[in-house]
Amino acid sequence: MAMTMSQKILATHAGLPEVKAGQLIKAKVDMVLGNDITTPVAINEFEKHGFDSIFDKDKISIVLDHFTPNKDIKAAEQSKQCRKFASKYQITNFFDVGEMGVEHALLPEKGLVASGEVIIGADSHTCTYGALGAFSTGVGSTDMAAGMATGEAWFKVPAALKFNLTSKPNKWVSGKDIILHIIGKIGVDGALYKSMEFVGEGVHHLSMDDRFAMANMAIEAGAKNGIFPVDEKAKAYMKYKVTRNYNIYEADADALYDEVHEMDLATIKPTVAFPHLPSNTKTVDEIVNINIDQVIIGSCTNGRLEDLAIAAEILKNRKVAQGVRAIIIPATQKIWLEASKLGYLDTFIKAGCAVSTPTCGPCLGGHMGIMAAGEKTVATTNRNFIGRMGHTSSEIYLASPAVAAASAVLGKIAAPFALE
Amino acid sequence: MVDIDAAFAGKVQKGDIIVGGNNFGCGSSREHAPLSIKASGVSCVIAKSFARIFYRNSINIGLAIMECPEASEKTEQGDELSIDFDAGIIKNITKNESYKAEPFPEFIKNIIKADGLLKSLKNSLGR
Repeated sequence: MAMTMSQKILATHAGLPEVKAGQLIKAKVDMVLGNDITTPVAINEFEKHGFDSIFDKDKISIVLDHFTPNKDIKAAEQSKQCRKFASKYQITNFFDVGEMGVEHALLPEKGLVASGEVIIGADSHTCTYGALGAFSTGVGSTDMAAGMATGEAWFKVPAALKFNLTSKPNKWVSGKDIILHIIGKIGVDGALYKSMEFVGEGVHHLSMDDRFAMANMAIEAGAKNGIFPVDEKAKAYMKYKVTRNYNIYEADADALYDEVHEMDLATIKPTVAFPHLPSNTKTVDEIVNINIDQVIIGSCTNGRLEDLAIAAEILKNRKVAQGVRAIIIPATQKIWLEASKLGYLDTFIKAGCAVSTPTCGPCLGGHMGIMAAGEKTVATTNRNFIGRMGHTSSEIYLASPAVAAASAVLGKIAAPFALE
Repeated sequence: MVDIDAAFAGKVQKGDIIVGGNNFGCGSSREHAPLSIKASGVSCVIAKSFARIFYRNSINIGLAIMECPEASEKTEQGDELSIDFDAGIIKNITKNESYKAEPFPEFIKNIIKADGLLKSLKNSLGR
């Protein structure tokens, strides 16, 4: 029977010749991930049930990224619990302050996730690694505990939606705009429980950072995972990072899809998701005079080097508008260093931005940019639910790094065209 | 449950069955949602469909759930149901009807019967 790309990866990991949508299977996982919020819950479950060994010390990643550098005593205790567990079980891929980065930027950068692998993470945005042609999805803390103990997880095999991408996106249009456009079109439950498979010649025009941003937000359409075919760009990305052998899967030509969406990338405009849902989108040309208080450029969606390059291009020799706080958060230490070498950080600081050490911080309302009542932020993050970044009357507008940087300069939501 | 039935917490009894509609459990990725339903004494949740993480978490904490659009449509408040979990058959005793749900494979049944994923793993590892 014909299978989608995700189904083929799951079948292989379940040791089955084929699987079909809806089937419940048990599969081997190649990586189990947790962060400083979800890992303590998993550790408690793991210990409560009397487990005393892990399946593979090299296939568990624990990244302290949400409330780090620790924002309060509770966060410090959670980090301490993760640190002790990682030390006890000699977990190779434990990333503490000084080495850590935002988990979904860090794991691909370190070569810990690769094409054809199955990855589970106790974090919604684990779906990011689909950019590399992996099957990766967010799970609960019990799943993480079981995954750490056994190296297995159960899955309901997903049906799929196909997005056939054609032509090339215009200047200032990035993966973020494309995925916001798609979520605006199909809704926050448009892909519920399904895979979003991105295919077509348009894929080749997307950088890896574009693809990471798109796969990252598949969950915002309700999807179980988002996935891209593995082309030369993806292979080049993995070349020096992934030292083990990896497998490349392709969907069968006659695989079944619940829906097929045709997307001409050249017609997509810079897009912003208005409060309080990622599906509440408008294109920038529809937006008039929304004054803002804050801009956040960072997160697992858009804190990568290319995102910072775009922001630096716009902020070079310009100033952040009076009354706007602009906070730039490179997603990993490596990205920070490269941005420093390339002069981006100088550009940001001269423009009047604050530059932070890597952290998820403001995205989930943790720290480093929380809003007061009635304030508005343009953020390159992935969720704009009520109260997520601060007071319940504050507002989050989700946008690309280009729109966020231009908005910082103009003090209102705008595209870079407005500066030309 | 307060939004649907403000008195729910007061009248729910051990063994009761919740019958829901589409995307049951949407809005929470935390295990508290199915845990609180289980703790209230509910023996099974039947729905047309479940939200992704709720579905996972319910099974993982040992709350019996069944996807059955027919049962969801035809069952009314107060009907008495009898469930054959192994066969995936829901009998509506009040209406004298029978609805067929897709039964779970053995390993999922074992998770629910063992009262959760980690307990079932412990049992199977014989520790």
